[in-house]
Amino acid sequence: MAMTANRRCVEQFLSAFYSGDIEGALACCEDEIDFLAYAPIDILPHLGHRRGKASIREMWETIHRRYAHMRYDLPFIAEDGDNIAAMIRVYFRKSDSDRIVQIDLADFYRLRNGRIAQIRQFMDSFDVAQQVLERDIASMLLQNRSK
Amino acid sequence: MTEHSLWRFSRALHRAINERQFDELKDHIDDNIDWAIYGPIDMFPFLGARRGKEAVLEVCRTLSDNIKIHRSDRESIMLGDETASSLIKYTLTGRDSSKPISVRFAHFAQFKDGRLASLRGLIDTFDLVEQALGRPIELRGIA
Repeated sequence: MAMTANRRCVEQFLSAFYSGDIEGALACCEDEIDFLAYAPIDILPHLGHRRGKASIREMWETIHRRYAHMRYDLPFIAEDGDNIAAMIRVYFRKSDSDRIVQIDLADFYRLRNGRIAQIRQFMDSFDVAQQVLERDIASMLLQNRSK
Repeated sequence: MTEHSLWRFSRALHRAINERQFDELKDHIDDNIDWAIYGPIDMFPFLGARRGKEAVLEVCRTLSDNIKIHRSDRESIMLGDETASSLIKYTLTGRDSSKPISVRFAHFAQFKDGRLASLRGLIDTFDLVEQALGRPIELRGIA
C-alpha cells in the first residue's frame, strides 16, 4: 500500500529533526504549530507547552545543543485521517559527558493541509529525569519513605 | 461490521480491574503476549515488561488490587486492521484511599486473531509518582 502524504510528512519530519535539520523539521509544520510534552518542566524547562515556529525552533535548538548526536527507531506508526501516532525509540548522546540517553516516546500528531499542526508527546518522564540528572531518584524516594 | 479487538479488550480489562472478573480478559490475550508499560518498577510493581498471558494477568490482578477506574476519556484513537494506538485519560483512585489520580495513558497495541499480542504503554510517570506521593518530588540539590 502506498504511503499517504500525511505519513510521509511525519516521517520526513522525524528524519529531519533527529538528523539535526531543524529548518527541515519546521518546514513540515504549520506556522501556528502547537506542541506539548508531558514532562517535568523544572527538570526539562525547554519542554512543556510551545506554540508557533519561533518558540519551537528555540526549544529544538536547545535540545540539539545539549545532545551532540541523535538517532531514532520507529517501531510503530499508525494513522487515521489527519491523526498519526508514532512510537519512537530515541538515543541522545549528551554533549557534555558523551553519555547516551535512551527514551521511548509516544508522539500524537494532528495534521492540517498536509502539515503538522499539533504534537502531543509522552514519555516515561521519571526515567528521563533520572537519566538527565544521572541520579537514582526512585531509590532516594524509597529511602526517604522508609525513614 | 465487526467490532475492533481493542474495544473488546478494553471492556474486559476495565471489568477485570474494577470488578476483579478475569475470565473474560483471559480470552482476549494471546498466550505469548509481549507487554511493556514503561515506568519505575520499584515504585509501581505493575509497570515494566512481561511475556506471556499468565504474567500479564498477574499485572492486571495487581492493578485491580491497587486501583479502581472511575472514568476514561479517549483523547485520540487510531485503529488499523490488527493494530490500535490511543491516548486515554483515566481518573483513578487507590483501593486504600479516595484520593483521585489522573493519568494519560498512550498505548500501541497489536492483535493476532483478535487477541492482544503486543502492547507498549507510556505514562507521564514523573507526574504519576508525584500524585501517588501527594506532593512534589523535592529536587533541590539534585537538579
